[in-house]
Amino acid sequence: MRLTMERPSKRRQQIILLVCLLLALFITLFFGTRAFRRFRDRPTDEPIREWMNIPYIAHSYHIPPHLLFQAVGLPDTPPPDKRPILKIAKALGLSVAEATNLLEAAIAQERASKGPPGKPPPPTAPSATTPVATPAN
Amino acid sequence: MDLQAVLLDAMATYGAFAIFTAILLSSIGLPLPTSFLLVAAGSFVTQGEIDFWPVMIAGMTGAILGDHIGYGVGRIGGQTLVQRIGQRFKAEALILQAEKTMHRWGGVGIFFSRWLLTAAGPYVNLTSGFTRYHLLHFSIWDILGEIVWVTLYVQVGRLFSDQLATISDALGDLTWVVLGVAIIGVIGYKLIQSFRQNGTK
Repeated sequence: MRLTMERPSKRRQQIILLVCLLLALFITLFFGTRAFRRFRDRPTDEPIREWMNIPYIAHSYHIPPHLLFQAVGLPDTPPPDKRPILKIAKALGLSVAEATNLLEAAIAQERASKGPPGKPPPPTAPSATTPVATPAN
Repeated sequence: MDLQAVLLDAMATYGAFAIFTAILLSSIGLPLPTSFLLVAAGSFVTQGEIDFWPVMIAGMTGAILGDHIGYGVGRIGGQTLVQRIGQRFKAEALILQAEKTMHRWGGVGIFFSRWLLTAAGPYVNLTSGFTRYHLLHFSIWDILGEIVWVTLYVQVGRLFSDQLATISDALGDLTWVVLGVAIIGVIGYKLIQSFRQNGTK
Protein backbone atom coordinates (compact mmCIF):
# COMPACT_ATOMS: atom_id res chain seq x y z
CA MET A 1 0.00 0.00 0.00
CA ARG A 2 2.78 2.36 0.95
CA LEU A 3 4.66 1.61 -2.27
CA THR A 4 1.63 2.29 -4.45
CA MET A 5 1.12 5.60 -2.61
CA GLU A 6 4.72 6.65 -3.17
CA ARG A 7 4.91 6.03 -6.91
CA PRO A 8 2.36 8.64 -8.11
CA SER A 9 3.83 11.24 -5.74
CA LYS A 10 7.30 10.53 -7.13
CA ARG A 11 5.99 10.95 -10.69
CA ARG A 12 4.24 14.15 -9.66
CA GLN A 13 7.45 15.41 -8.06
CA GLN A 14 9.34 14.75 -11.30
CA ILE A 15 6.71 16.60 -13.34
CA ILE A 16 6.89 19.60 -10.97
CA LEU A 17 10.69 19.56 -11.22
CA LEU A 18 10.51 19.42 -15.02
CA VAL A 19 8.08 22.36 -15.14
CA CYS A 20 10.38 24.34 -12.81
CA LEU A 21 13.35 23.43 -14.99
CA LEU A 22 11.59 24.70 -18.13
CA LEU A 23 10.55 27.88 -16.31
CA ALA A 24 14.13 28.48 -15.14
CA LEU A 25 15.39 27.83 -18.69
CA PHE A 26 12.88 30.34 -20.08
CA ILE A 27 13.83 33.02 -17.51
CA THR A 28 17.54 32.45 -18.11
CA LEU A 29 17.19 32.67 -21.88
CA PHE A 30 14.94 35.73 -21.67
CA PHE A 31 17.26 37.74 -19.43
CA GLY A 32 20.38 36.41 -21.15
CA THR A 33 19.11 37.52 -24.56
CA ARG A 34 18.02 40.88 -23.16
CA ALA A 35 21.41 41.49 -21.52
CA PHE A 36 23.20 40.54 -24.75
CA ARG A 37 20.97 42.82 -26.84
CA ARG A 38 21.30 45.68 -24.38
CA PHE A 39 25.07 45.39 -24.61
CA ARG A 40 25.23 44.87 -28.40
CA ASP A 41 22.78 47.68 -29.21
CA ARG A 42 23.98 50.04 -26.51
CA PRO A 43 23.50 53.66 -27.58
CA THR A 44 26.49 55.94 -28.04
CA ASP A 45 24.64 58.48 -25.92
CA GLU A 46 22.89 57.29 -22.80
CA PRO A 47 19.61 58.99 -21.97
CA ILE A 48 20.14 61.41 -19.08
CA ARG A 49 18.77 59.95 -15.84
CA GLU A 50 17.97 61.68 -12.57
CA TRP A 51 20.82 60.02 -10.64
CA MET A 52 23.49 61.31 -13.05
CA ASN A 53 25.53 64.36 -12.06
CA ILE A 54 26.90 66.98 -14.43
CA PRO A 55 30.55 65.81 -14.39
CA TYR A 56 29.36 62.30 -15.31
CA ILE A 57 27.06 63.55 -18.11
CA ALA A 58 29.95 65.61 -19.48
CA HIS A 59 32.18 62.52 -19.35
CA SER A 60 29.54 60.29 -20.94
CA TYR A 61 28.76 62.74 -23.78
CA HIS A 62 32.40 63.85 -24.18
CA ILE A 63 31.47 67.50 -23.62
CA PRO A 64 33.41 70.03 -21.50
CA PRO A 65 31.58 70.19 -18.12
CA HIS A 66 31.56 73.99 -17.97
CA LEU A 67 29.14 74.11 -20.92
CA LEU A 68 26.65 71.96 -19.02
CA PHE A 69 27.02 74.00 -15.83
CA GLN A 70 26.39 77.13 -17.90
CA ALA A 71 23.33 75.53 -19.49
CA VAL A 72 21.56 75.14 -16.14
CA GLY A 73 22.90 78.43 -14.80
CA LEU A 74 25.36 77.03 -12.27
CA PRO A 75 28.88 78.39 -11.72
CA ASP A 76 31.73 76.14 -12.85
CA THR A 77 33.99 76.90 -9.91
CA PRO A 78 36.04 74.23 -8.12
CA PRO A 79 35.06 72.01 -6.46
CA PRO A 80 32.56 71.05 -9.18
CA ASP A 81 28.92 70.58 -8.25
CA LYS A 82 28.45 66.80 -8.04
CA ARG A 83 24.80 66.73 -7.01
CA PRO A 84 22.54 64.48 -9.09
CA ILE A 85 20.29 66.14 -11.67
CA LEU A 86 17.31 65.45 -9.44
CA LYS A 87 18.74 67.64 -6.66
CA ILE A 88 19.98 70.34 -9.02
CA ALA A 89 16.58 70.58 -10.73
CA LYS A 90 14.83 70.85 -7.36
CA ALA A 91 17.22 73.57 -6.16
CA LEU A 92 16.67 75.53 -9.39
CA GLY A 93 12.89 75.15 -9.23
CA LEU A 94 12.84 73.02 -12.40
CA SER A 95 11.48 69.59 -13.16
CA VAL A 96 13.98 66.85 -14.04
CA ALA A 97 12.64 66.90 -17.62
CA GLU A 98 13.24 70.67 -17.90
CA ALA A 99 16.79 70.38 -16.56
CA THR A 100 17.43 67.45 -18.92
CA ASN A 101 16.15 69.50 -21.88
CA LEU A 102 18.53 72.34 -21.03
CA LEU A 103 21.47 69.93 -20.86
CA GLU A 104 20.50 68.16 -24.10
CA ALA A 105 20.17 71.50 -25.89
CA ALA A 106 23.67 72.50 -24.72
CA ILE A 107 25.07 69.14 -25.86
CA ALA A 108 23.39 69.46 -29.28
CA GLN A 109 24.70 73.00 -29.67
CA GLU A 110 28.26 72.02 -28.76
CA ARG A 111 28.20 69.08 -31.15
CA ALA A 112 26.75 71.16 -33.97
CA SER A 113 29.66 73.56 -33.57
CA LYS A 114 32.25 70.75 -33.40
CA GLY A 115 30.91 68.32 -36.00
CA PRO A 116 29.70 64.71 -35.51
CA PRO A 117 30.23 63.08 -32.11
CA GLY A 118 33.11 60.72 -31.59
CA LYS A 119 34.77 58.74 -28.86
CA PRO A 120 37.58 60.46 -26.97
CA PRO A 121 41.13 59.26 -27.58
CA PRO A 122 42.26 56.26 -25.48
CA PRO A 123 44.02 57.21 -22.23
CA THR A 124 47.52 56.49 -23.51
CA ALA A 125 50.43 58.84 -23.89
CA PRO A 126 50.20 60.71 -27.22
CA SER A 127 52.86 59.75 -29.74
CA ALA A 128 55.17 62.29 -31.31
CA THR A 129 53.68 61.82 -34.78
CA THR A 130 49.98 62.01 -33.89
CA PRO A 131 49.11 65.04 -31.80
CA VAL A 132 46.07 64.40 -29.61
CA ALA A 133 43.92 67.16 -28.20
CA THR A 134 43.57 67.00 -24.42
CA PRO A 135 40.02 67.51 -23.19
CA ALA A 136 39.40 70.49 -20.94
CA ASN A 137 38.61 69.68 -17.29
CA MET B 1 14.92 60.37 -4.47
CA ASP B 2 15.75 56.88 -5.71
CA LEU B 3 18.45 54.81 -4.04
CA GLN B 4 20.89 55.07 -6.95
CA ALA B 5 20.75 58.88 -6.76
CA VAL B 6 21.16 58.84 -2.95
CA LEU B 7 24.20 56.54 -3.14
CA LEU B 8 25.88 58.47 -5.95
CA ASP B 9 25.24 61.76 -4.15
CA ALA B 10 26.73 60.29 -0.96
CA MET B 11 29.75 58.95 -2.86
CA ALA B 12 30.32 62.30 -4.58
CA THR B 13 30.15 64.08 -1.20
CA TYR B 14 31.81 61.64 1.21
CA GLY B 15 33.95 59.56 -1.17
CA ALA B 16 35.24 56.19 0.01
CA PHE B 17 33.55 56.51 3.42
CA ALA B 18 30.14 56.42 1.70
CA ILE B 19 31.20 53.28 -0.21
CA PHE B 20 32.34 51.63 3.04
CA THR B 21 29.11 52.47 4.89
CA ALA B 22 26.75 51.47 2.06
CA ILE B 23 28.50 48.14 1.48
CA LEU B 24 28.68 47.40 5.22
CA LEU B 25 24.91 47.95 5.59
CA SER B 26 24.18 45.97 2.44
CA SER B 27 26.28 43.02 3.64
CA ILE B 28 24.31 42.96 6.89
CA GLY B 29 21.10 42.73 4.86
CA LEU B 30 19.90 46.21 3.87
CA PRO B 31 18.79 46.05 0.21
CA LEU B 32 21.03 48.70 -1.38
CA PRO B 33 22.22 48.70 -5.03
CA THR B 34 25.87 48.28 -4.05
CA SER B 35 26.94 46.47 -7.23
CA PHE B 36 25.80 49.55 -9.13
CA LEU B 37 27.67 51.72 -6.60
CA LEU B 38 30.92 49.82 -7.28
CA VAL B 39 30.47 50.17 -11.05
CA ALA B 40 29.80 53.89 -10.55
CA ALA B 41 32.88 54.12 -8.31
CA GLY B 42 34.93 52.61 -11.15
CA SER B 43 33.57 55.28 -13.47
CA PHE B 44 34.41 58.00 -10.90
CA VAL B 45 37.97 56.60 -10.76
CA THR B 46 38.32 56.97 -14.54
CA GLN B 47 36.92 60.50 -14.35
CA GLY B 48 39.51 61.36 -11.68
CA GLU B 49 36.81 62.16 -9.10
CA ILE B 50 38.03 59.57 -6.61
CA ASP B 51 41.22 57.50 -6.15
CA PHE B 52 41.36 53.79 -7.00
CA TRP B 53 42.83 52.33 -3.81
CA PRO B 54 40.51 54.06 -1.31
CA VAL B 55 37.58 52.66 -3.34
CA MET B 56 39.01 49.14 -3.28
CA ILE B 57 39.92 49.23 0.42
CA ALA B 58 36.58 50.80 1.44
CA GLY B 59 34.63 48.26 -0.66
CA MET B 60 36.50 45.23 0.64
CA THR B 61 36.64 46.22 4.32
CA GLY B 62 32.96 47.25 4.34
CA ALA B 63 31.91 43.96 2.75
CA ILE B 64 34.11 41.73 4.91
CA LEU B 65 33.15 43.51 8.14
CA GLY B 66 29.43 43.40 7.25
CA ASP B 67 29.63 39.69 6.40
CA HIS B 68 31.30 38.91 9.72
CA ILE B 69 28.66 40.91 11.63
CA GLY B 70 26.00 38.79 9.84
CA TYR B 71 27.92 35.62 10.73
CA GLY B 72 28.19 36.76 14.37
CA VAL B 73 24.47 37.52 14.60
CA GLY B 74 23.69 34.07 13.20
CA ARG B 75 26.14 32.37 15.54
CA ILE B 76 25.12 34.17 18.73
CA GLY B 77 21.40 34.71 18.22
CA GLY B 78 20.56 32.20 15.53
CA GLN B 79 21.44 29.02 17.40
CA THR B 80 18.86 29.56 20.16
CA LEU B 81 16.22 30.61 17.64
CA VAL B 82 16.89 27.60 15.41
CA GLN B 83 16.71 25.20 18.37
CA ARG B 84 13.36 26.65 19.39
CA ILE B 85 11.99 26.44 15.84
CA GLY B 86 13.31 22.89 15.54
CA GLN B 87 11.58 21.79 18.74
CA ARG B 88 8.33 23.62 18.03
CA PHE B 89 7.92 22.37 14.44
CA LYS B 90 9.68 19.03 14.99
CA ALA B 91 12.21 19.98 12.32
CA GLU B 92 15.39 18.85 14.06
CA ALA B 93 16.21 16.42 11.22
CA LEU B 94 15.80 19.17 8.63
CA ILE B 95 18.07 21.52 10.59
CA LEU B 96 20.65 18.76 10.99
CA GLN B 97 20.52 18.24 7.21
CA ALA B 98 21.02 22.01 6.67
CA GLU B 99 24.05 21.91 8.95
CA LYS B 100 25.50 18.92 7.10
CA THR B 101 24.95 20.63 3.73
CA MET B 102 26.56 23.82 5.05
CA HIS B 103 29.63 21.93 6.26
CA ARG B 104 29.93 20.06 2.97
CA TRP B 105 29.21 22.87 0.47
CA GLY B 106 29.57 25.95 2.70
CA GLY B 107 32.86 27.19 1.26
CA VAL B 108 31.64 27.12 -2.34
CA GLY B 109 28.34 28.73 -1.31
CA ILE B 110 30.08 31.49 0.64
CA PHE B 111 32.52 32.21 -2.21
CA PHE B 112 29.91 32.42 -4.98
CA SER B 113 27.37 34.33 -2.89
CA ARG B 114 29.99 37.08 -2.46
CA TRP B 115 30.27 38.03 -6.11
CA LEU B 116 27.97 35.95 -8.33
CA LEU B 117 24.73 35.52 -6.38
CA THR B 118 25.17 38.60 -4.22
CA ALA B 119 21.50 38.77 -3.17
CA ALA B 120 22.00 35.52 -1.22
CA GLY B 121 25.03 36.90 0.66
CA PRO B 122 23.36 38.13 3.89
CA TYR B 123 21.38 34.87 4.25
CA VAL B 124 24.50 32.77 3.71
CA ASN B 125 26.24 34.80 6.45
CA LEU B 126 23.43 34.10 8.92
CA THR B 127 23.23 30.42 7.92
CA SER B 128 27.00 30.04 8.29
CA GLY B 129 26.74 31.50 11.78
CA PHE B 130 23.86 29.45 13.12
CA THR B 131 25.18 26.20 11.64
CA ARG B 132 28.50 27.00 13.37
CA TYR B 133 30.48 26.86 10.15
CA HIS B 134 34.18 27.16 11.00
CA LEU B 135 34.98 30.88 11.42
CA LEU B 136 38.43 30.69 9.83
CA HIS B 137 37.06 28.85 6.77
CA PHE B 138 34.22 31.37 6.54
CA SER B 139 36.71 34.24 6.69
CA ILE B 140 38.97 32.78 3.99
CA TRP B 141 36.12 32.11 1.51
CA ASP B 142 34.55 35.45 2.37
CA ILE B 143 37.72 37.47 1.80
CA LEU B 144 38.44 35.68 -1.49
CA GLY B 145 34.88 36.24 -2.73
CA GLU B 146 34.78 39.90 -1.74
CA ILE B 147 38.12 40.58 -3.44
CA VAL B 148 36.65 39.12 -6.66
CA TRP B 149 33.39 41.10 -6.28
CA VAL B 150 34.95 44.52 -5.60
CA THR B 151 37.71 44.12 -8.21
CA LEU B 152 35.36 42.84 -10.91
CA TYR B 153 32.70 45.53 -10.53
CA VAL B 154 35.13 48.43 -10.13
CA GLN B 155 37.04 47.28 -13.23
CA VAL B 156 33.79 46.99 -15.24
CA GLY B 157 33.01 50.55 -14.14
CA ARG B 158 36.44 51.74 -15.23
CA LEU B 159 36.13 49.97 -18.58
CA PHE B 160 32.65 51.32 -19.39
CA SER B 161 32.99 54.56 -17.46
CA ASP B 162 30.80 56.56 -19.87
CA GLN B 163 27.98 53.99 -20.03
CA LEU B 164 26.90 53.49 -16.44
CA ALA B 165 23.16 53.23 -17.14
CA THR B 166 23.59 50.60 -19.87
CA ILE B 167 26.01 48.54 -17.81
CA SER B 168 23.84 48.81 -14.72
CA ASP B 169 20.79 47.52 -16.67
CA ALA B 170 22.81 44.71 -18.26
CA LEU B 171 24.20 43.66 -14.85
CA GLY B 172 20.64 43.58 -13.49
CA ASP B 173 19.70 41.15 -16.26
CA LEU B 174 22.84 39.09 -15.72
CA THR B 175 21.91 38.61 -12.05
CA TRP B 176 18.74 36.85 -13.24
CA VAL B 177 20.78 34.75 -15.68
CA VAL B 178 23.14 33.61 -12.92
CA LEU B 179 20.19 32.85 -10.63
CA GLY B 180 18.52 30.93 -13.47
CA VAL B 181 21.65 28.88 -14.16
CA ALA B 182 22.01 28.07 -10.45
CA ILE B 183 18.36 26.93 -10.27
CA ILE B 184 18.78 24.86 -13.46
CA GLY B 185 21.82 23.20 -11.90
CA VAL B 186 20.02 22.32 -8.67
CA ILE B 187 16.81 21.10 -10.38
CA GLY B 188 18.81 19.19 -13.00
CA TYR B 189 20.79 17.43 -10.26
CA LYS B 190 17.58 16.55 -8.38
CA LEU B 191 15.94 15.25 -11.57
CA ILE B 192 18.91 13.06 -12.49
CA GLN B 193 18.95 11.66 -8.94
CA SER B 194 15.21 11.02 -9.12
CA PHE B 195 15.41 9.21 -12.52
CA ARG B 196 18.40 7.16 -11.33
CA GLN B 197 16.42 6.02 -8.27
CA ASN B 198 13.57 5.02 -10.62
CA GLY B 199 16.00 3.06 -12.76
CA THR B 200 17.44 1.10 -9.84
CA LYS B 201 13.98 0.10 -8.52
